[in-house]
Amino acid sequence: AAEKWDLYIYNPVATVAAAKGMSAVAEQIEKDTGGELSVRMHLGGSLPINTTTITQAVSDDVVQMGDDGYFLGNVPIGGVLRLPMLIRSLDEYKKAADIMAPYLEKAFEKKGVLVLGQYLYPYQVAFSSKKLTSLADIKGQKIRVTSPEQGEFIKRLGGVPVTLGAPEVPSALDRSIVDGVLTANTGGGNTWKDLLKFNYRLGINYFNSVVIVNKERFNKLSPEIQAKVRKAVADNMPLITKAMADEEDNLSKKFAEGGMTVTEQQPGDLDVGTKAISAYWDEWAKSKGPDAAAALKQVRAALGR
Amino acid sequence: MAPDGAVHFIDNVSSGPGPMENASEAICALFLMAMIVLIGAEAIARNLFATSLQITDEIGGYLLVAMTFLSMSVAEAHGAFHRVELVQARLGHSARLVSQIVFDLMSLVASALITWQLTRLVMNSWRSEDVAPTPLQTPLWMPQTTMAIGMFLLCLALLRTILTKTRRLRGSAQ
Amino acid sequence: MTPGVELIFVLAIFVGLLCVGMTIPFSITVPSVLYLLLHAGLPGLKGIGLVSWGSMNSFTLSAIPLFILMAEILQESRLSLRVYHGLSKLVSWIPGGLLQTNIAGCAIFAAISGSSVVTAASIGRVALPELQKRKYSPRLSAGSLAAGGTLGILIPPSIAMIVYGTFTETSVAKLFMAGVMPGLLLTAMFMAYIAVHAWFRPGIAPREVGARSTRELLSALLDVVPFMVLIGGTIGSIYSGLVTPTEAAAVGCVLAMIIAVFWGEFSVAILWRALQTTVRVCGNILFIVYAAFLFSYAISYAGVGEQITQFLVNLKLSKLEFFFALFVLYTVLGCLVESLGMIVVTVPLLYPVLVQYGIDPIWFGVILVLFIEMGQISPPIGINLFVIQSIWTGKLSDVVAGTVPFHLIMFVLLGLLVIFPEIAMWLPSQVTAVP
Ligand code: NA
Ligand code: NA
Repeated sequence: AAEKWDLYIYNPVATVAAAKGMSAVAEQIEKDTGGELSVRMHLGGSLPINTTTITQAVSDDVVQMGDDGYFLGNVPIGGVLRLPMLIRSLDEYKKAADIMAPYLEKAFEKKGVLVLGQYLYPYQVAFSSKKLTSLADIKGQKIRVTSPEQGEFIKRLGGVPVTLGAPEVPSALDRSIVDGVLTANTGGGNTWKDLLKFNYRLGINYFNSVVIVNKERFNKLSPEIQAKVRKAVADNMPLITKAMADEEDNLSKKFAEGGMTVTEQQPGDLDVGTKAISAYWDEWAKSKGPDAAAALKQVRAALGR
Repeated sequence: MAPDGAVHFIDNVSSGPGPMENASEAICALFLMAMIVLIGAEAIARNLFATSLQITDEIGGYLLVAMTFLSMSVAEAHGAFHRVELVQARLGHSARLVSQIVFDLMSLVASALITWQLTRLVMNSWRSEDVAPTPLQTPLWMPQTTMAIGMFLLCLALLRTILTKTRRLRGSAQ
Repeated sequence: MTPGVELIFVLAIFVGLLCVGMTIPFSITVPSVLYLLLHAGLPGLKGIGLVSWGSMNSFTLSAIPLFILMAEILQESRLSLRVYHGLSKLVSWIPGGLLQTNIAGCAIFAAISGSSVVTAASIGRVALPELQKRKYSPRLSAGSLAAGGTLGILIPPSIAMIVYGTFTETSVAKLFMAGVMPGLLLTAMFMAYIAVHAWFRPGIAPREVGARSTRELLSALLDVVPFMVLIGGTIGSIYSGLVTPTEAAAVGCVLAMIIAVFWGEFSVAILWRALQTTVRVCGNILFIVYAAFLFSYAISYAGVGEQITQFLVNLKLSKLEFFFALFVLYTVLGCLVESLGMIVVTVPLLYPVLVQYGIDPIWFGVILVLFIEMGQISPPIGINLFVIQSIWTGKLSDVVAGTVPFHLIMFVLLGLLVIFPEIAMWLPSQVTAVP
């Protein structure tokens, strides 16, 4: 009999590159398997399941497949790839990601979840409604962050990290409860652009999302179908990453044309930022256990940082 | 008049609160005050000291979850849930009690199934050591336990309501 | 059973259980569990844990108990009694009397709260006991509150608009602005209806005795001052950027306590009573909200909303036919799905189609919010109906009947917005040079 899977993605917007790419994955699976396996995609929020619990939803077979960008609560070790100022270019990211892959897979597998692939958002950068043309401008500004690691970074630069749910961000920006946000152009930047006047393009960290499946359900598939599922994911991941990277530059132009002050990274700020946060990297790893400490050590050695 | 101020046209038979419900009620009241204090502290920290506690929306969410589930049994024991009285008002005393016992049994089955699922959620979170992706790194099983406990207490409260109604029914039959 | 038959079967069970007298939260919960069981057997229940956690672990929802506590403090400290005593003297000359303050109160409160449920529950909790004591028409009292409460998502801030804006990548700031004029217009139309109704049928509202001397007028004004301070302080705390709309609920509680100390009666015993009642009322309202989420999950798990929308998209209609189809779709969905679920299920599928028909997304956002408002007061799953039912002493059928005229007025506004889109679009168009 034909197998039916549900795919839950954290992204609520159907028109963004990541959602389109996942939809392409679902279509390709259905087509390549000749309908033997059909995958129904649910957009973020269309099921009342928190996007931070997608790992659990896949692990518990509530949905069989997930596009999971918010897994750090479930797989804390993944945070190595998101430590502020640790990774400075796509090449460095690839090196680090190769080192981290076995660690990530092991951590997910412990929960009965298989990682089939991942794609990458461009750098998360700082946006603000107040003057923000260098790292020093962060001082005294209230910045909305999405992870404790980013919070620590803002704190060490003299800013005030604020945690807010995404729905509350527009009104909080509007009434200056927060001054700015850390996000990528393709994401919060585009959604909240009307309320933001400055964009400082110093890359703080990348944001990766993993495509996961329930291990037991996956292993029940025939080897041919398994291969086709793996191929559909593998085919589309680089396309998503590339589409978002292309979009990023276009959006920057669009923001500048709309009147936003977009400032490229200032010389020296990379070192200022790294100096502020580097002591925290080890602190962070220590608090996440021996595996994290070992992984971070390997990554730092590979990057020479 | 019902304890929440509502007047019912028909007699709303309830078991009345026991020690468990009173304790739940007190905890909910405490959590409500905690919510105010927490939000007040965050507003003061942000506006007067230019800093943020960074825990308010996280803990606020947990408090709301706890209040939602722990207040269910309180409302049940006080007979505070409302019903459409259209048909009920036309039934005789015994028929009304019998129909309500049937409803309560159905509610009990649904609540028991939900309790089972909530317990499973807590066990899963405990086993896989899931934490909140926040500075507090709260182990999720802790706030999630309030849901399972609340639903379980609701089952007990429903059982007591059913017993009370059965006793009434026997009393009126004699 | 096919999904369509399953849905009809489960809805029939829900309506049946509700009518024969199962308590409201359970009459939503039981069919939800049953639907999941029908659809996938015991494994279908697996999602309940994460859904319960995902739907209720929400800081935004904490505004509900806090605003109810605020209302309870006003009630227990006898402040609302004083406020209504003063108000009744001040509005005695207006046809409809205190019924008008239901609408005005909801509209003002809507400027604090982003949610219809919170608006209806908070104003209803203060107003209903007073209106019933004063022998106002129960239908119109309950109906005006259930309908007035829906202004909560049309007048900014609005949780529904925030979610819509996020989904469609339209500016939430512009959406908020687009909601202002229709919100004020709807308020005015509600009040005009009450006035006309009361003019022709004076029996619906008792004749309030107005102030007979300057002194009495001054004392009436003084009675109303505390409420003004409370509303002014809470709105002020949001618009001055001190707190978020959710946090404002806590500010409201603190202000209510302070005001109770100076203008009313206040003690630890009074606070305790207010807290106790709040817990019991919340046990009811939050359970209903939770049950609505479960029901919404059951329906989206089966993919019914998506099937209906996909069907519509495939019809390839003319613009007018498309509008009519949307009208039918949202009227039907409004009966079934909880408000945010309505956006989440339909908008991603419909949004690309809107662009093809040349429909402005901001304008459509306002139309959608209006549909959601109607859904919130349309049976069988009209959350505001249940919220009002859970805080008053009358029959659900009276609440439903009471909202019918307001429902019709919303249709009129809908027509006006189709004919004169400027009602929504004028204010946002005035904002130029948005970066
Ligand atoms: Na509002
Ligand atoms: Na409805």
